[in-house]
Amino acid sequence: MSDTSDPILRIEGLKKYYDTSSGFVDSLLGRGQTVKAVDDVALKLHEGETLGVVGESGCGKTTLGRSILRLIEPTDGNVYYRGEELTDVSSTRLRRLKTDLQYIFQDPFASLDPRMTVGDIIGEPLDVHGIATGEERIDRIGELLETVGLSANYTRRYPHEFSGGQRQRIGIARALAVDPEIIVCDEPVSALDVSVQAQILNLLDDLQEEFGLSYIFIAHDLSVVEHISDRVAVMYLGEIAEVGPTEAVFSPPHHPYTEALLSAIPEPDPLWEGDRITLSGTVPSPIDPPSGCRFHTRCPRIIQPDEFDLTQTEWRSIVDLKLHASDAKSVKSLTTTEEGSVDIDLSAVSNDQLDRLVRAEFSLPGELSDPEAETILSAAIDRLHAGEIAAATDRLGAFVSPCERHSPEQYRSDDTHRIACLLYEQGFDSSGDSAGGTDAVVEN
Amino acid sequence: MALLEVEDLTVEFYTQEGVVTAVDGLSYSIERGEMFGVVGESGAGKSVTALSLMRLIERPGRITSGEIRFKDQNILEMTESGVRSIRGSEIAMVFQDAQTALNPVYTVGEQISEAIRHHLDYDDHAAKERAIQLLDTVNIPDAESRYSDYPHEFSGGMQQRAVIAMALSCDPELLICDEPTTALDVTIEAQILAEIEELAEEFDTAVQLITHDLGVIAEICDRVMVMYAGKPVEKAPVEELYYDPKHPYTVGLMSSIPRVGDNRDRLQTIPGTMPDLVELPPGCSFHPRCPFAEESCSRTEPSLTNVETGQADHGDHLAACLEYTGGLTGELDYEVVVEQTDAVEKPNQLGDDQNV
Amino acid sequence: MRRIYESEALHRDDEEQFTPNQRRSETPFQAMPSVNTTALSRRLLPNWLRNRAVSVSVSTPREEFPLGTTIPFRVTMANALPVPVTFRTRSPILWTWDIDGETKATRTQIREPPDEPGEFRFERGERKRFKRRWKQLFRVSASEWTPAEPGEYTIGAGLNVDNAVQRGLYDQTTVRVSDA
Repeated sequence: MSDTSDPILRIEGLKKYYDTSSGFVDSLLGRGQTVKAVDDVALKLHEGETLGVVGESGCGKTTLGRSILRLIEPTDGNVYYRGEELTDVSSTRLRRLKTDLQYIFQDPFASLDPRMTVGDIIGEPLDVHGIATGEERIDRIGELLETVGLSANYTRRYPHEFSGGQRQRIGIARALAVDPEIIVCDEPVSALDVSVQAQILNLLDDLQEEFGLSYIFIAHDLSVVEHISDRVAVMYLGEIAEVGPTEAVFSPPHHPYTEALLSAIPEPDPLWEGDRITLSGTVPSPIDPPSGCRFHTRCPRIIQPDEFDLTQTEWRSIVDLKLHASDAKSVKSLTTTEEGSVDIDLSAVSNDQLDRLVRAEFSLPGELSDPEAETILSAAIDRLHAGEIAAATDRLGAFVSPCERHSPEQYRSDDTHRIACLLYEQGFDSSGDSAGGTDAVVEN
Repeated sequence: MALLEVEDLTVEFYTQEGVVTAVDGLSYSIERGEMFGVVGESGAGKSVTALSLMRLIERPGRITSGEIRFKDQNILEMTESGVRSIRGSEIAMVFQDAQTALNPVYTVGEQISEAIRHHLDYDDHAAKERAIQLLDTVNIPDAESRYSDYPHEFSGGMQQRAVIAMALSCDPELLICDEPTTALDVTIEAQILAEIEELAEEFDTAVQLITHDLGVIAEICDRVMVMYAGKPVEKAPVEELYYDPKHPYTVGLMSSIPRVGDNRDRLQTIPGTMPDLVELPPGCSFHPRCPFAEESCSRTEPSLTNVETGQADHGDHLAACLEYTGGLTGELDYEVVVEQTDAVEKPNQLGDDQNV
Repeated sequence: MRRIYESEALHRDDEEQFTPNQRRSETPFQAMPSVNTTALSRRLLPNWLRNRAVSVSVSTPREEFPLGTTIPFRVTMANALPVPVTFRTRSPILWTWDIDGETKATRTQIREPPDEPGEFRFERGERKRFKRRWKQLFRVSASEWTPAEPGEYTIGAGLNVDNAVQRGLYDQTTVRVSDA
């Protein structure tokens, strides 16, 4: 797994956009909206390694997996397999390449035709690619079943006769039938019980060793991804937030989103007392992703510009207020709901009272630690009191983070670890370096 | 007197394939304000247990034996209207799939208000106010305007929060949560678990939390029951369960979870799969997969036994294994290793000290 | 190969060789009758015909088994008629098996089934297959099993109806357990 050798798979500038316009007229009138499911992704997969792709729902990881193999057509970008460009190749050539590039799906039941026997399911790729016929084909199917830990006698059974874990094994056997080089695994264990999950993960591990396979392992469960992956890519809203060797990415975590993901995992240890990081707000829509760094709307470590001197918590809260105000349809929506306050007529409320309600809703203190910021905030609340939301938003516009303006490049901490976060613009800060230790030197 | 006492509950499904004994002779109790976890894999019978508590088992399923005493009244012997008056007001349930609880045709606020009007006899205005209050309590932003939104206008996490709000609306004494966060992303899951814990404390509600996720259990439960093939195999306070598990199945389950930072190449697995509930193995249901099984394990079915005293069904930590009744000749030979992991080192937090 | 093409499992268009098949809605094995044949079956089918319509057979892979091993057996029930047939069973338990007449190899009363009848329905031409395994153990109490001695045993299975044997709704087979 030398770092200097060429990657077996290289993905550059991959994009998949969906158009939500519902018809010809809509698209003509530009009435549709673009869902940027995958937006400019670059990744490398080395031979024999497992690259994990992790992220929450809506981050685009499944779309990414499918686009790589052209199961769905990418909108833009290039995918190179051993130097050959997949995105440009003829359908005949692509079909032949499919013997090298396979896919395992999350739902083992949905991806197996219930009317075909197990033998047919596994034999299908052998037939399509003319790999084996007759006696040899039967032998090969039996071998494949045993390789995945099932009995060769199962060839005449139907998928519904098997458990989830067994069906997944059948799916894996089918992928192995063509003797692939690379397998893209899309949430292969998410639907399985914990103990079955462990069996399948061990199986994938064994197969990798035995057949020299390379995996792209897509999942939302960090513990699973961390266990099986050599390198990990963390995705957020269609982009790669961070990618690097597993240990470098997770311990210690660097990108604030990775950090939040890790801290969110319920630890199977009742006495564990970690600090859980809570993310403010909800995941934005991929139709209209936030400007600059897409994570800025929720990032606990959003950068404060030099002109202010607030605590990090205050800064995050102020930006929250600003973001909500720009979208707010009523002043009421910016205030906290208290006992008996449901009916309050906000125009009759005193400035002080409104001030208290707004600050309570956004966890802001009675007075900000930076006097200049406090002046701006009070002025904004004044405008709210007058019912002028737009004017208030205007005032709050003074609180701008560099994270909103600049899209972070994939800053390199070293050759193998890239972090898309302005906090790392100058490279590692010193504490990260000494604590991790793993990222300074890359073992080949 | 415990808030809830389940005694010898058996639920069977009469199917063509045969009789599926989904729950077999289950007994447990929950005290007021307690957080009780029920953990097991699919097919273990955890959800069936919960549905029985609310008398929601339908044909071909039947509750064929046992008692479910809630505040000393046997739910299984109540009239239909008696059960209905308890459901939702004294015992409330949160399912994995928020959509089963939320009617798509009514606004979320209206559904909560309806429950309040029905059970607490509030007038329209008071019910609406309480509903908005609850939506705010479960951290739904802009609660007042969201009151008039339909379920499909909420994200998955928000829907689940709305369902929790609805469940708590009548101040129930027992909240049953069946995989409440399984369908949610991990960051949302973390928030919702914290909220359940907070709310349970604030409202003094007991919670029966059903899940397959050992992390979730460790997070908020006080006591835990592990189920396998329709039977309870271990019951213990949460720390004892994790640090001193007594049943081989529990041990196997704990070792098969991948944990961030554990550096194992292979996960420990329990070979085989859960048995078909139509054809349970003789003796201990777990014996075909148990690394410590002996001949007596297929001849005798162990009942829950106190791991210290060997007494049946009495005490804090119980396990259903012949080891504790003195029936095994060999020993349960496993070791629980507790690693002292250092807290994850974080790079300097920027902000509080302005030096970049 | 032909069967695979006919099954429509392979997409014919080149672009999507290995996309998963859409989960097709279950096509019924027989055409949906427009007449309520179940009700008809009950009214029009004379009992003797209903009884003869369904056959039951019990089989094992071999006749002899070493002591202490698992004895698998298969129960097949087939409806030979071109109409659905429904049987009223004595309880919701639709069919049972027994070893030497002892139901489910159990020598004690575990639980009474609910005191109500059940309905066991066979579609027209339907064949039901069930597999069971007898581990050469008899259940003697709620929590105790004892091993079977070497010798001959009869494995029986049939519908849970009165006079199943006379009505041809029951079958048996014999196995030998040898102390080898």
